[in-house]
Amino acid sequence: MWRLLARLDRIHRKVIYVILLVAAAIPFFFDIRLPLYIWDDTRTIHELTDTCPKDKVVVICSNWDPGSQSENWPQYESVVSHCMMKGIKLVVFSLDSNVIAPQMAETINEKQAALYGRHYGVDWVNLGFTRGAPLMMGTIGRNIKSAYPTDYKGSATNDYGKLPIMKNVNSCKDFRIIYLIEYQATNDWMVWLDPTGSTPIVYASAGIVSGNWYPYIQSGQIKGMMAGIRGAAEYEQLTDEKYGERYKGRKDLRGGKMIVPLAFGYLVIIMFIVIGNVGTIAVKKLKGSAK
Amino acid sequence: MNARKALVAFMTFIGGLYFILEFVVPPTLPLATTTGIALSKKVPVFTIQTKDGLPMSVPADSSVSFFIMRRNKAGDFQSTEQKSREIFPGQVATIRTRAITVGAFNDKGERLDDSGNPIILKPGEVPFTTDGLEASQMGIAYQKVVGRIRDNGEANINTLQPGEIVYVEVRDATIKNIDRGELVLLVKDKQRTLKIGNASVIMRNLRRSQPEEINIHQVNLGDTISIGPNTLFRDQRDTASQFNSVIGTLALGMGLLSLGMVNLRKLKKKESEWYTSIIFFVAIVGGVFAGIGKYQPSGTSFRLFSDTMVLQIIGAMGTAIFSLLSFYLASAAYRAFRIRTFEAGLMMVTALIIMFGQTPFGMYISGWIPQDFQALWLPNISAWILRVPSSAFIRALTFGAMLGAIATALRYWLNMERPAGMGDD
Repeated sequence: MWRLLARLDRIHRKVIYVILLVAAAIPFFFDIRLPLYIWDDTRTIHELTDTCPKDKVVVICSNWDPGSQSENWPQYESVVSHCMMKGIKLVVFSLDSNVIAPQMAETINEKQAALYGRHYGVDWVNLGFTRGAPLMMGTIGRNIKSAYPTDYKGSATNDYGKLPIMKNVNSCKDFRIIYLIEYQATNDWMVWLDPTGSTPIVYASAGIVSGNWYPYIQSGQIKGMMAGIRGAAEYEQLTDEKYGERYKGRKDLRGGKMIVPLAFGYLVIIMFIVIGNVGTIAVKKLKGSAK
Repeated sequence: MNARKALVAFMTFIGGLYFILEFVVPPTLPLATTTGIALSKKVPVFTIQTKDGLPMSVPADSSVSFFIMRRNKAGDFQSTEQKSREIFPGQVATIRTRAITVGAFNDKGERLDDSGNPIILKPGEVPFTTDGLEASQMGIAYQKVVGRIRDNGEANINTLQPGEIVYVEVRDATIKNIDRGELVLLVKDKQRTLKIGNASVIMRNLRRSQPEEINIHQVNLGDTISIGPNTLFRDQRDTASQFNSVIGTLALGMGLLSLGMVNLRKLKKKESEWYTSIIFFVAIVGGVFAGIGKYQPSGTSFRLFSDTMVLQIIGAMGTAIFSLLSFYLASAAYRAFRIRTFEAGLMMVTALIIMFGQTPFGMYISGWIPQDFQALWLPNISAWILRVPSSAFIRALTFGAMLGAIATALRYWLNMERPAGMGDD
């Protein structure tokens, strides 16, 4: 018996790879939805976004790229779909990111805008890419049009004929909330964007680094967090619970879909941790009996 | 020290000095600054002349903002918001006098604001809303005149839903005279009345963060206020930021140039694996076309090429590389989390709780626990671990790392370390 269990101590890694692949692939063939427990961090940011007044905008610093799209895409999509559905005005920009970040963001913007009948320049604007953090973060907070004199498509940000949304967007006082969506955003935002700390900042990062932000949530420097795919799935669920049928694009969003393979993947990892320990105990028993 | 080293040392010092000054230099001249508790205020009054030559007096309260047309980096004129202290007689400015939240109608059919007062516009004032779609389709930019506006000072705004906001501006007005107002402060148990001058900066001292610059109308009774002449340093922050952006962008171009030269040399000399340089140049050309194509309208072939390059090729490759990590992670977790010691066991249990907390399975396992004891639900235990012990550790780690970073930064700043690319000597 112990001899058999001791074999679990040394499972070849290829076996682990295959089982993980199969577990993560199953949800792609069967439509499985899992109920979620909503964390306070997600609930707070959803409420802040949902209650955005008409004279303010939701701002997203979209710095994600193909490398982190598996987690950042669902996060970005969940916020954009919520804003497009509700008609909350949205300003998107990229700072010191991969140069294709604005294009990745715009793909989602256009898809969601088409679904809810929103118009570029009126309901959302993509300001494109610039460099120069952290000083540029201060400029964005003081005068965003100085940091981005033109948008992604080349229109001047003070051309209110083309971009009427920008008429009332000048400084961070006009931001309802700012989302920093990237693998791991820098802490500099808390220092530079708004020295008074009154602009709500939200970090939407990969799940693996999300633990870094809890001290800042406790201190009130950031208002909430979207932790990996779980955060995106929770955000989608909150919007769905509140708006139901009106949130018509939900079934195609990635958050609710991707949480399932992620959960299955975690289960496999947990299973192998347990199996590995059973193997270790068995090996110890065998060594003890040999002595 | 050769000239190149001296230049790098000098630039590093200037850059570091800027960063320090940004945080350390006070916004007002220290000896000429008065700090006290605000007792009362008299807001500035701007006497202006509208485009049509009508005189108007605008008290600069909380609803008033000033916009000046300036050239931006693209060479276009851009409307930039200015602080009231940055406005001077003789300037032409657009003044947003107020924002009105539209309310219901009264018995006479007149539109009221949300406080129940009739909405009255003065001659020269232009109202507009920000639902710019209709306005832009009409070809009049954001300027959407709503309701009836009569020169006798009466206006009914009747096309909007209650709760919508209407902004009122006086466009291209000439500033004729400015009374900057005054502030009464309690300084060391004595009342002092301070006249606000052209160069005065008003700072509100905050308990939990840096002082913030405010306009006089934003001063509240009981605020701790500092007033003094401007040091002019803070007003140059945007210029410094743009300089930083230009330097960063130049570095991007230099990186590309350097890569190009390396690959060109490889091709010329037919070094080993020279064909990879051809792939490099093909990728560069493809990237340039993809970059141009992204500006084209959706559905055009150029845009399709761009989207294919970015989403289907670069996107797929990036995701594929990133997703490989999950397999290594699973394999590493299997090998690492073995209960060989008490500490290792503790770490494993913590890892299991965190992992269950991050997935819906956490509630499947612990959901049977009654709501009165919900602190024992796995997601809640997971949250507690992240918020308390983990946060304490991260704070300590960050604090230590930052002390080290400050020491290293000081060494670089004072040229006590050898800058990168400066050779071995």
